[in-house]
Amino acid sequence: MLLAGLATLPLAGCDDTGGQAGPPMVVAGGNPERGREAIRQLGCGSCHVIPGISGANSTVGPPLRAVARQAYIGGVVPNLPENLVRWIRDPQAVQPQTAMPDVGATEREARDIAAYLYTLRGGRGLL
Amino acid sequence: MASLLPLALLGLLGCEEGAGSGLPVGGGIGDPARGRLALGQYGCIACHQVPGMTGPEAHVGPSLHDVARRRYVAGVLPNTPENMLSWILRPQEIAPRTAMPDMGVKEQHARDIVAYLYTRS
Amino acid sequence: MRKVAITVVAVLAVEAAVAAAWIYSGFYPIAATQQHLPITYAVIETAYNRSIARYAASVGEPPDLAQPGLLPEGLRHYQDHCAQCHGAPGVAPAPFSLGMTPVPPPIVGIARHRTPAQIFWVIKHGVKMSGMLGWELKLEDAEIWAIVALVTRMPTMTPIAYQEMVRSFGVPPPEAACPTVAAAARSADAVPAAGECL
Repeated sequence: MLLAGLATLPLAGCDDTGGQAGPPMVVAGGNPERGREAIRQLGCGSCHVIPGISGANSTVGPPLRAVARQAYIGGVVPNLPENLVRWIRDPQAVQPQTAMPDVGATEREARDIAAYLYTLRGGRGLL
Repeated sequence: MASLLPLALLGLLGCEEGAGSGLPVGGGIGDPARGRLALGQYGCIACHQVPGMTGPEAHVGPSLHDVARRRYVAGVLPNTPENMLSWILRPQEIAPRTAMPDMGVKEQHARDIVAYLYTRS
Repeated sequence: MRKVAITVVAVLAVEAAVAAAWIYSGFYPIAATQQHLPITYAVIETAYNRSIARYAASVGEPPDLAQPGLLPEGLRHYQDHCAQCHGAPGVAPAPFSLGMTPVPPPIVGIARHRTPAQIFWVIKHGVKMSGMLGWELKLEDAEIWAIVALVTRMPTMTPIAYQEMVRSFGVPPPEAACPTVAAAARSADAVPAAGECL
């Protein structure tokens, strides 16, 4: 009874800090709306699950449900805006062994895509 | 829960059929129930979200929810139970710069973890 | 109206009795090898997050966390007191801490969602029933802030950068940082002495 009542409280995630925390996850010059389009054009969804992109539900690469909260990019470098942009532009420069292909994104496309990906914050929903 | 059971059975079936089904399968490599225990006792859930396990909403390592359907282990090796086993045992040998630490997992426990991951996801 | 009140009281009393019987029976699984129910976990986690947010609000303004000297000092304390349970970028915690329930969170990502004041508060006061002790009587506030300075820097470090920093500051590695220790832990009979690299 008591538990059920408590459970209906908003299940505030770790995000509920009431203050500023962490490195700023803002991509200079990135536009999330253009990023969404670039993601479609470059076919990112043929390998990744990407919320908000229709048809992006492939499991070849890891799902991109919570990019804004990931600790690392490619498993090797900290998740920071410039690292993410570099990863999208030239994954092998970040992790030479990676299976992620260089999809030929321009600098601007990479910035826009990174800006879109940083809108994805995951969350496990209600249990 | 109920929907996972047929999947788990499928996984076991697929193993007997051998390669060619496209999906790597874990049944036979270890004991999934022991694997669940090991995933908790080696602290895997501190960094990874693991299907069927209770823990923090971790984003340090990738979620392991659909790990059986991924094409690669750690983004570098084809996803097979054997490669996953090597990765858990010696991540730095496979990807020297990876942030995943060597957790000192004993081989039998790693086998059980692989079995759990491929039957539950 | 009185009937309603009596009914409510009676129902509450029965619930309390059932709850007490359940607790006293010993059936509650206290084993650390057994997972919490998702609902139990969610309730405790919510209480934890809300409590930290509330009580950390009373922590004053942090000192300048970028001041020189703070990082080496924080690293020394971190390696001495924290890395054993929480690991570090690319470094596993010591084998003894693996298997705690709740599992000690990896610190690499903590500063992405906690403010410096919150990190300070948790280090200083600890967390009940979690294994996280309060360091209030063991470390000075300034020393805790030095640890906070390091922790807030961690989300920007590669594992290699962390190792290089440890080397360049001349800080001895925690036992779990010895690669041979993790390997030795695999065989049950070869457990290295604390603090020793094999």
